[in-house]
Amino acid sequence: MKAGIVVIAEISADGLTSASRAVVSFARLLAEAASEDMVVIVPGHFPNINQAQCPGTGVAKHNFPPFSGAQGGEFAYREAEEIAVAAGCDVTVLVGDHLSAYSAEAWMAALSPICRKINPRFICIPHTSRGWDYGPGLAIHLGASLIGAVEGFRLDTGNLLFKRSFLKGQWQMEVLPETWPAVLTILPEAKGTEEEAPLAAARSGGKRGRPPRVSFLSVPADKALRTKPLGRLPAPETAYDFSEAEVIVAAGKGIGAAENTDMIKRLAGVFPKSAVGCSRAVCDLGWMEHRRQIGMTGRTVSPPLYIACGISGAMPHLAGMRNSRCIIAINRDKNAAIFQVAHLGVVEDLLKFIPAVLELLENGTLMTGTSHKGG
Amino acid sequence: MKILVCIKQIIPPELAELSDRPEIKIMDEDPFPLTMPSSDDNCYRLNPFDEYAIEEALRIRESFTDVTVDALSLGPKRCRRALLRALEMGANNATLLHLDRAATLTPFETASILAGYLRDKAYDLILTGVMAEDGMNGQTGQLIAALLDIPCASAVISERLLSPQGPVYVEREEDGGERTAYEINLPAVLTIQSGINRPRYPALSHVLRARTQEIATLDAVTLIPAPRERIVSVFRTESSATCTFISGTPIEKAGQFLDFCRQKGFLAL
Repeated sequence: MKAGIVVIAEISADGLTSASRAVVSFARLLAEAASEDMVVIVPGHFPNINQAQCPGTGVAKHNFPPFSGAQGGEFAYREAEEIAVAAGCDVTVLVGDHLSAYSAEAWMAALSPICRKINPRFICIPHTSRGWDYGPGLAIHLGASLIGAVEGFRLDTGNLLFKRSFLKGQWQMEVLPETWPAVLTILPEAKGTEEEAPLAAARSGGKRGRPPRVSFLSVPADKALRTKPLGRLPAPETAYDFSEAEVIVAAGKGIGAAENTDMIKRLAGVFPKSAVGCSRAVCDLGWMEHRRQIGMTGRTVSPPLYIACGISGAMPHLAGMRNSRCIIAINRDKNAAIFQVAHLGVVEDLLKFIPAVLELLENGTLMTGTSHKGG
Repeated sequence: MKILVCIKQIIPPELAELSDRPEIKIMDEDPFPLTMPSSDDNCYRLNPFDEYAIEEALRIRESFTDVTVDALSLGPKRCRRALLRALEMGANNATLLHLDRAATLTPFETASILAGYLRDKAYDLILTGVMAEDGMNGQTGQLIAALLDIPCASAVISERLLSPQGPVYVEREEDGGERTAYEINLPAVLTIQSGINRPRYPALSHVLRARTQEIATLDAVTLIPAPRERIVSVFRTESSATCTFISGTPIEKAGQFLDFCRQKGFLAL
C-alpha cells in the first residue's frame, strides 16, 4: 500500500472524532495540491476481531463482523467503509492488544512500522491532546520533520508552506519542511488554499483507478512498553452547564486581580439568561473555579452573545468559543488575537470600561448609536 | 534521585516587534526579525508554564530524601535571569547552554541540543512546562524523550512518584478536561500542565544563596543538529475583516456597547 499522505484518525463511541474528520478534509486539499493519494489509518483495539485472521499486509475483507472499539463504542466495518468512500481513499484499521487503551508509546510503536512501509510525504494528525502527545515522538522515530498546530498551507513556487500562529496568536509563521516525511498536527479549523496557477499533475482521485478499500492490520507489540495505561478517570467535578445561557461573559487574565471577578459577575447580571465563564489562566490563578473554564481543556460554548473580558485570544481559548454567534471583545491591547474572531472590538482598560457601562445603566443611557445621528 | 527541569526565557507576546522589516520577507541566516523594543533584559520572563514544572520538581524533592533538582536552559546570556529564578525557588543547580540565536530554533533543534547535553547525565526524571508562551509549540519535552528513547507523558495535571526508582503515576489532561491515568517507568519525561500546583514565591534563604551561586555555562554550538524544518517568514496576524472597533472615551465606548447590545436584542430597549 502506497500513499503520499497518511492521516492518523482517532475514534470515539460515535466513530471518527470531529477533529479527525476535519483533518481528513484538510488532507484531501493537501492531497490535491501535492498530487498525492491519501490513506486513513485508525489505531484501536477490537476484541471481536480474530487477529490471526488479519493479514499482515492488508487487503480488503468484507466478511469481518462488526466489532467494538476500546474507545467506548462500536466501530463497525461499515463505518470504515463510509470513511473510505467519503474521503475517497483507503482506510487501514490497526488492530492490537496493546492498543486497547491509548498511550503515546503504544501508538508510536504501532504506527512507526506502517508509516515506514507506506513512506508518505505527509503524515497528518489532528491537533488534539493525543495528537501532540505522540506526534513529536513519531516524527523522531521516522526521522521526519514536524510542524505543529497547522492552520493552513499554500503552494509557493512548488513548495508547500505551512502556516501556524505563535506569540498568543498575534503573530504567524510559515514553515517549510526540509526532511521527509513531514509530520503535521492540524487544527480543526485549518484551511488549505491552492496556488492560483493550475497544478499540472492529475488529481489524486484518478491515480488509484479503483474504489477505496478498507483493510485490517494486526500490529503486535514487539517490545515491552514502559507506559501502562490505567484508564479514564471520572471528571473531578461536574461541569458547569452553559447550554441555557444566551449571554456568556468570560473573564481572562486581563481582569488583573481576583476581586475584579465581581465586576464580571455584575456585567453578566445586566443581561437576562447570562452565565459567567473564564479562561484557563483565571482558573490556574485560583480566581474562578475550574468548572467555569471555557476553551480546549474546558467547555466549548456557542451562545448568541459571548463577551470576552481581558482575554488574549490564544488558540486554546478560541477553540472553546469561536462559534459563538456574536462576539464582543474588551482588551487593552489592540493587537490581541481575540479581535480576530470578535464582531465588536473595545480597546479599553476593563477597569474603566465595565464600571462605565454599569454607571450608564444605573443613571440612564445616552443613545449614541448611528441610528440617531443626523448626518 | 536526580530531577532536571528544562526552562525557557520567553519573549512576552505583548512586547514583540518586527525589527524594521514590517512586510513579509524570506528570512536568511540572520537572527529572527522579532526583537524587543528596548534592550532592557528585564522585559523577558521565565515561561509561566515552566514555573509549574519547577514547583512540581521541588515537591518531589520534599517527598523523598537524597533528591536534587537541576535547572537547564538554552539561550543567550540573558537567560541566566530565568535560571536565577529557578535557583531562588529552590533548585539545587542551574546550567545555561549558551546560544545567542536560540529564539530562531525550531523545536527539533532545541530538543536535539538539550538531549545532546542530557544524554550522559543519567537524570531519573526530566520535567518541562507543557509549552512556551511565545513559541506555543508544546513539542520540546516529547522530542527530548524520543531522542533519549525514554517514555513521555504530556499535559500532566497530576503526578505521584511511587518511589525514587519509579514508576511514576501520572494523570494527563485531555481535550474537554477529561483525564486519563498511566504508570510510567523511570527514566521519563513529563511535560507539566498549568494548574497542577501553585508555584511558590522564592524564600529569602534561597534568594540569598542564589546570589552567590554559579550558573554553569556551556557552549551549545557543537550540539546543533541539521535542521528538519525552516521558518521561511514571520508576520503579524492580519487584522480581522469582521471586527468593528468602537472609539472614544470609556463612557462613550460604554454607550456604544450598550447601543449595540440593544440593537441586537440582548438588552431591552
